[in-house]
Amino acid sequence: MPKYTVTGGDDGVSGVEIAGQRYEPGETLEAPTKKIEWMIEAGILEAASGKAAPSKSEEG
Amino acid sequence: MPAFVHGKGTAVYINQFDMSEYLTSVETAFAQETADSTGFGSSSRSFIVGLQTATMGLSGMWSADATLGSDVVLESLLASTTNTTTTVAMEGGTIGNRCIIMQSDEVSYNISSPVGDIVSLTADFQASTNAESTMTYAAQTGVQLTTGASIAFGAVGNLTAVDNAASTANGGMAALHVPVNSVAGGATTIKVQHSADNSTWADLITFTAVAAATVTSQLNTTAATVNRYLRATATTAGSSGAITFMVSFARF
Repeated sequence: MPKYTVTGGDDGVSGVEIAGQRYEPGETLEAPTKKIEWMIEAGILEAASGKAAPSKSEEG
Repeated sequence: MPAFVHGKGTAVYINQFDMSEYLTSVETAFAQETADSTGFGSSSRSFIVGLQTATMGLSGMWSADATLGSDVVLESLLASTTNTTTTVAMEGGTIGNRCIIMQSDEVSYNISSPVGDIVSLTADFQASTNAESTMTYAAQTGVQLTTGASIAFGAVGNLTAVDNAASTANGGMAALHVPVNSVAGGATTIKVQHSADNSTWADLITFTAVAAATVTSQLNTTAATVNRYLRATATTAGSSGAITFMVSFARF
């Protein structure tokens, strides 16, 4: 699945909740594009580029 | 048959105070100014739309109760240079029911002491955007995102979502009133979240964290697109106690 980074939105502090999992700004997540398309369009998520930040699962 | 609503369930929050028990009537007036644009040769007048304005009139029972009494609260607001945040829930106690959110200044406060009746009061408020760039309107009809009931520290979380049937593109404002807070050991963070599918959620407005055992109120605005579904959510670092909070949101 593609990886996305939480941008924080307009106020820079907005996190997201996907499948019951909370992600804060700067964190990276994996999700089907179709499921989070509206967040990409709203600028809350952006495609992770380069070296992605560690995801929740990677942080353990 | 139309669904009518009895006024007995109305809840009124003014800043960090739940004033419902003191008040008996609320009148909110929304008005649209127009400017006469009638030119020579016209057969009837024409107008162009100008500015919107709103006022709110409260009436109820006077009480000298310390801190929370109607006299203490309403008299102090008259001299305040800080805008007042008001939520009037016409059907208080149910998430999704309509309410009115207003940022305003108190412009009058009157006390009546008749020989044959209870001492009563009236107060009037003038809505004001205070020139805030993202506050399109200082008074707007919205929806309740909480019931206004007490929630134990261990039970805070995601509240029921409200479906607007469609997203809106003009931003909105959210009001938070915390009239009772006995949560100890840490702050409580309250947010408004939105969603396009009632499944994945993003923070829309994050209120400043409410410190332990602190009552407060906040009014925040956003210029962003507001998606179809809205809900309030809270997390706390507290380890005991409970918090009562009313969150409402109005789309512009």
